[in-house]
Amino acid sequence: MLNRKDALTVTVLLSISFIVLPQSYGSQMQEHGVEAESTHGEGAGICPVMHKEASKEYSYAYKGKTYYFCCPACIGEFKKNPDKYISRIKEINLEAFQFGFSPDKITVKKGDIVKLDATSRDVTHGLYIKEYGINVRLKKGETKKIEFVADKTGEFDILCSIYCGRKHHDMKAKLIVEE
Amino acid sequence: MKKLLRDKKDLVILLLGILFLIKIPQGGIRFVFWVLSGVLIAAGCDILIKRFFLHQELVLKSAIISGFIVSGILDYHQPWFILLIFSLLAILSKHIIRFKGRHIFNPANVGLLAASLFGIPLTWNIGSRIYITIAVGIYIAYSIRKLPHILGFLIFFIGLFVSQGINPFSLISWFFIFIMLIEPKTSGFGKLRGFIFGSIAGIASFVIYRFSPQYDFFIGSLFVANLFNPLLERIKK
Repeated sequence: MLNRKDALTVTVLLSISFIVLPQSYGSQMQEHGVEAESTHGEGAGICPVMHKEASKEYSYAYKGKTYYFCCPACIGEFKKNPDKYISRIKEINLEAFQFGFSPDKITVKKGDIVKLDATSRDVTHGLYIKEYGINVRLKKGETKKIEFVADKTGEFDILCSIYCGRKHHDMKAKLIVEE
Repeated sequence: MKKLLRDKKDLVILLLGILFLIKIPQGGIRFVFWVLSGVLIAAGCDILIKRFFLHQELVLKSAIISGFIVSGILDYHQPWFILLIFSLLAILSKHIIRFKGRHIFNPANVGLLAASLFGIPLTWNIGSRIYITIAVGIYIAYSIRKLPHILGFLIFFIGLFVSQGINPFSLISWFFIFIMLIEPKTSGFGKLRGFIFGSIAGIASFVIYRFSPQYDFFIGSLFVANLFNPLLERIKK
């Protein structure tokens, strides 16, 4: 049997692991500056006019699609020239697999709103773009919507942030944001 | 050469050095400075603590190994302070978290665990060559009598993943098994104890993968197995 000191030590260590770890899991997957939720989530994404967080209260349907805005004024602005704003929204289906991403290169223009519908083909992967503060878990069979404004120019690595097998370190794609 | 083969830590350092060199063409200059800095930080921190606080003999092999592992697994595109913090943390944990005068957690694993909790991706760059890792790893494991650890781990890891229809060999990290899992001081000795230690890690890796896949299941599983060290110490076989 354990003596009292041993039992105390084990209890403290187990408490640390069971209290600290689950809390940290949550913070690990916190996204910064992006909308990220499952396809059935409630988020409205980014306002195509002001590039701020949109609200479901302010919406406008155009050519069979519903767009969400941050305020009524933006709806008015959008109505004046919808194609101007729609052309700046890039919707991309991104699939992660062992050991790569498809497509392996995403090219957008600075200021575009990038909407990624991300899935995993096989095991759990992580979609990580350091410069855009994106770190999203992709479970097999689940689709995550990730939305951000491409406001930094350059070439950025898209990495897998969750160990997924022996060639995990080779799993890369590129996000190219042109001027 | 004989002397090198006698101390298995030298062999581990040699293996890590080779894995590091092989990765350089792909990793580039940043990877070189990243790993070397990690080794220097870990060794430097160990020197300071041993020299000025503990007044102990300066043996830096373990710190060098920890430095290699932390910097080789952390994503090397991260800011430099990330490397500094988690390399320091790895070494500090060795001197602070102790049970009956010995550290029970694999130091590099503590640093990496903390990094992953903060959402820093672990890219495992240094573990990219599996054949050399397996070949040298088997020799090291056999020499330091750690094969029961590996056997215990593999039985449960493979069994549980196969039971879920997942190919375990597409997920397994031989670097983890042969370098981290069998770290001498924190994995214990003895056939039964080693087998149980490995089994705990194998089961924990599956459980973490299944229920918290966002977390690195190898790093997490070793932490869990290390947690059981105070209990496992009672097994003398």
